[in-house]
Amino acid sequence: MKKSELIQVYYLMRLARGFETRAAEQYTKGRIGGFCHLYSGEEAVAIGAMWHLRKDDYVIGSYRDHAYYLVRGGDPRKAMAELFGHEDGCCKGKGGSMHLFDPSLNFFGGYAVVAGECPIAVGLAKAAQMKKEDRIVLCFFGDGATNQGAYHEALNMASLYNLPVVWVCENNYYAIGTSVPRSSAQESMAQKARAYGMPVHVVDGMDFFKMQSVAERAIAAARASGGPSFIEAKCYRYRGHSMSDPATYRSKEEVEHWKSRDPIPSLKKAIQNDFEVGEEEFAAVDARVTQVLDEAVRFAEAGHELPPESRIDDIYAE
Amino acid sequence: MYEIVMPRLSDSMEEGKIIKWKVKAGDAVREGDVLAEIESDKAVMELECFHDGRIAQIVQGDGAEVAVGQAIAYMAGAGEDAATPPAASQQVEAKPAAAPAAPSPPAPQMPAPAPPEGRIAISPYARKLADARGIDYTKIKGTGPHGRIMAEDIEQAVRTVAQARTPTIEPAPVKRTAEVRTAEPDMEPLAVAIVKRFRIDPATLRGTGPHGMILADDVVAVLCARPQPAAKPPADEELPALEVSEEEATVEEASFRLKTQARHVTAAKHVVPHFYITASADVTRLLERRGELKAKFGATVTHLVMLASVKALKAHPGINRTWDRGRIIRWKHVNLGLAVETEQGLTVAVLAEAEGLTLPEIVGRTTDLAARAREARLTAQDRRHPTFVISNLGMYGVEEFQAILNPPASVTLAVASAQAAPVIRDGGIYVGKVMRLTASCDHRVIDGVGAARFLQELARLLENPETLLEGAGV
Amino acid sequence: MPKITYREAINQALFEEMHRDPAIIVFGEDVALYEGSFKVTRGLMKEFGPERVFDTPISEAAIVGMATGAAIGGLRPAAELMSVNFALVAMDQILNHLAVMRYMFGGQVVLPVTIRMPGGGGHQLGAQHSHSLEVHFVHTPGLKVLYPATPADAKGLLKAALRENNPVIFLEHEGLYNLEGEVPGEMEPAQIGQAAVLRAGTDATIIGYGAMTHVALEAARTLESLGLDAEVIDLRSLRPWDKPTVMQSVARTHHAIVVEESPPVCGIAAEVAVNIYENVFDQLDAPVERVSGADAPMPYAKNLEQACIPHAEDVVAAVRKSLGR
Repeated sequence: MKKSELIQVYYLMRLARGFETRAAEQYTKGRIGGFCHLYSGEEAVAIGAMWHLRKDDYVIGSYRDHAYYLVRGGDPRKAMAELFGHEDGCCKGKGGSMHLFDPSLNFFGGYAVVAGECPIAVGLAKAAQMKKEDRIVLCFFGDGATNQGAYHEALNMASLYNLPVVWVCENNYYAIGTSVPRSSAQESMAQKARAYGMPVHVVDGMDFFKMQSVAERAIAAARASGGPSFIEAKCYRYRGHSMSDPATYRSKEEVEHWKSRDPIPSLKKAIQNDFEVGEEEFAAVDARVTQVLDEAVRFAEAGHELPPESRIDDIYAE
Repeated sequence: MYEIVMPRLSDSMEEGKIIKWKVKAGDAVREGDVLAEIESDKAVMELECFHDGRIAQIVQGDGAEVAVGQAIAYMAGAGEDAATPPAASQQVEAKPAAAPAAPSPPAPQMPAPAPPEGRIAISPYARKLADARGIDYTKIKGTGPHGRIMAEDIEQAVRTVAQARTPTIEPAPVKRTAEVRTAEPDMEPLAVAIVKRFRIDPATLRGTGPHGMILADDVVAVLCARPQPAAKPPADEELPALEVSEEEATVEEASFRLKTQARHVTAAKHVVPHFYITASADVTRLLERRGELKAKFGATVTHLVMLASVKALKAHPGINRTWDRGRIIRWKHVNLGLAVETEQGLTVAVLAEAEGLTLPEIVGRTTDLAARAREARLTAQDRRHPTFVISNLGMYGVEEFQAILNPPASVTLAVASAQAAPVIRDGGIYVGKVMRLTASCDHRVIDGVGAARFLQELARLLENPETLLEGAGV
Repeated sequence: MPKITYREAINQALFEEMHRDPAIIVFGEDVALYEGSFKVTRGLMKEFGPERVFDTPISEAAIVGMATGAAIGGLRPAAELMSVNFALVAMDQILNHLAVMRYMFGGQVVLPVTIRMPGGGGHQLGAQHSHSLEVHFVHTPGLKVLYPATPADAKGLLKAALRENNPVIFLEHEGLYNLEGEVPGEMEPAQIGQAAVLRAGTDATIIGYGAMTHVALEAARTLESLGLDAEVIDLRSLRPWDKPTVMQSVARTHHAIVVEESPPVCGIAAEVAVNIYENVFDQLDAPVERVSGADAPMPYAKNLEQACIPHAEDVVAAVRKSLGR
């Protein structure tokens, strides 16, 4: 990878991490309501998985979706405004944190029901296949989703119809407070997916390079009508399941261990290993991120919600 | 300068307690550091540092209980001067109070199709009130939506009527003696005056004023619900009132139906000049055929009497008439009223257009009518305008009785039991069965001769079964 | 005019619309090779090929989800669920995804999805196979719900559904598939949200839908012999439903009787009744009568099942009760 590309990766990581931190701050200030699920720690998974996507590929995922939206090219201002419930949010404040969505980015949400996005991913892929487009569908979900009925229906169908779906399982080991051993008879997400007859990959989700390498292969295969494949990205969320979760089910040691594998310092080190990059360059990127995020928060703070009369708008299309 | 506030750590948290600060003014901090331990309503959680910088000032110390959103410290961002007094920092912008949620707009009203001519819009409840208070609602203008007459319109009409009755009493200023609570409810002075004037029993009053105070309105309501002396009193009123103690008897309010019936039968007896005429019929031969007729057609003595009545009326149409306020109503059909015994008492079910019915038809329709009467399923049609009524108490061994007329029928025939009696026939004396029939007649439209002739014909038919059953589908 | 069955009418609508619009695809369990468990999709795969008409595994949630995703991707899916009873497996995808996504995403997506499902009881199929679930769909903003009673309406309304740019739940009644009726060869799509007055009358208004429309018509015939003249309205469209037609009728007749096959609690009849009270209260001579299925799961025994479904005599009794005659 070129230096400029790696700097871009670093920027995206800092942006995603910074956005989540700002969201946490605004949530504790009461500006964001409801549920707020933060991606901090898992940045390498989203960025690595999406690095080789084309603009016209489809992305769909779960409620932990701020990073998906931003990495796909979404405007942090519109994301923060959506979290604030304001009319200039990407969904006019009607979706909220869990339902970011932007068709112009080919990012199709943001779903609150675990594994609810999986059958929809099948539909997106089916349309692409039927129209003879060579775009693919990237579908994100967590370890918890792999026990849901709809998830199995979706994986089966995608394999049956040889659809261009890349299933990306963010195995952060916990579904709220229930760890994988306590919920899954088969602890290997990849093995479960294997049963549907598709190629499976298990990868270190804290490592951008490994992640993007595996994703590149899966995406290429899907695009060449090779059908679906499955990536189990072993990763970790540094925060609780959501802002309401004190995450007492995890020990401090465990969290510290995974913090020592933080993808951002790892990436920075890797870049410095391969290229001549001084601290000022990183600092400049950091400053840019701060500026962008400050602007996003200001934009959100200055906005306001839609008037009550619009509560029945946008139910039906003409 | 960043304001550090008491964070909202859970949905339900409204205030938190600072357990312990981990930093002090002047300390350099980094994003992600733990600044303090905070106790929320659910647990002890860490206060996270969201920016790189330096702590400028701790505003609330260890142990402070602070509402969510209130400042507890200030920090300078990277590049800012931590020594700047926090007074220069921005005030917390009070989040503009969210506009109260607009109540959902009422569902768009369908423009109510205009009621067709002659149809008055009145709510079901208002109509009930109007009936109970004796108000003619067709004279009332409704104030409800689309001109609907509502309960209040009826109440207002009641008050208007009442006011017209008490013109001499100056409406005294209402004294709300709400503070004084006595064992008996208060009455406002106007109410006291009305109670005295109309000799109303205060025990019948229900106060709707504060603390149960009886208002003039409450007295007037009772007044209007009382039977109007100006109207014709039910005959009951002419009898001395009965005072009964608990040890002597239990007292219950009669049902509306019974009250109505009592009124009607009293009026019938009161108003119509009755005369009674009795004939005997030797029904020996008729009863000899009873078994066969019952087996073949399910016919009883009552059915046979009905058949005979219909035929006799055909021959004497003058009986099938009614006197009504100076008019003579000549009925086009014979509507046979039959007194049927039900759980609720005796009721008259009407077999409409009975002339020309065969015996099997009479049996069928009467059976059906009687069954419906017993099940309280008689329709208005089933009760309408009997022109001749039959009451049969023969099954109880009654020798003879006189019935009270059932308007509009001008004759009610009381059928007694067929008694064993000596009968002279073909020159010999036999033990036969003789049935006495007593006709109660309305002397305004029926005279003795007409009644006698009719009864004679009726008896003849009952004494000659072949004639009776001729052409009757037997 | 040609006379065809309800089943054939649906089939015709699918044929015509699929010819007209290549974006329409049809899928579901056994719809392609087997031609449908009720043979409604007969001949479709042969005509349009296995790409546009294909079989799915028994995966109702994925069937609906696939329809949703395919709609986002630019197709116009017409999925079939083998019966409304199995829709329950897919309820999350229907009520919690398909119905809310346009709104939740701020109007950024159009979802032209039709889900066809036959329902209703009366064939001794037991409690799990005999539901009338329309009320759950009708209750949900974001969906449109249709329920034709006649072959002509089955064709006209399905054509409308397939051209509609919003999710449509298209309910059919299993007992009506063999019903014959006149259906024009050339036909414009019907109007969604419009009821049909099948019989004009003056004494009472009977409102029904689906199989109950025919029960209502039979009741009207019986009432005629009793000298009572009933108007019969077939709702056809349950969400949105045609309030003006119903209100105008009840304003004239002053008596309303609503018939539904489902149990009564919070059903379509309750919805219609309350709206009648709200709009033409002053014209009512009697409370609105509801004739509903029994408030019980559907039993298997033939007599019990029949006792759980409204028949013409029940409607006649309700009309007579309303009229007091």
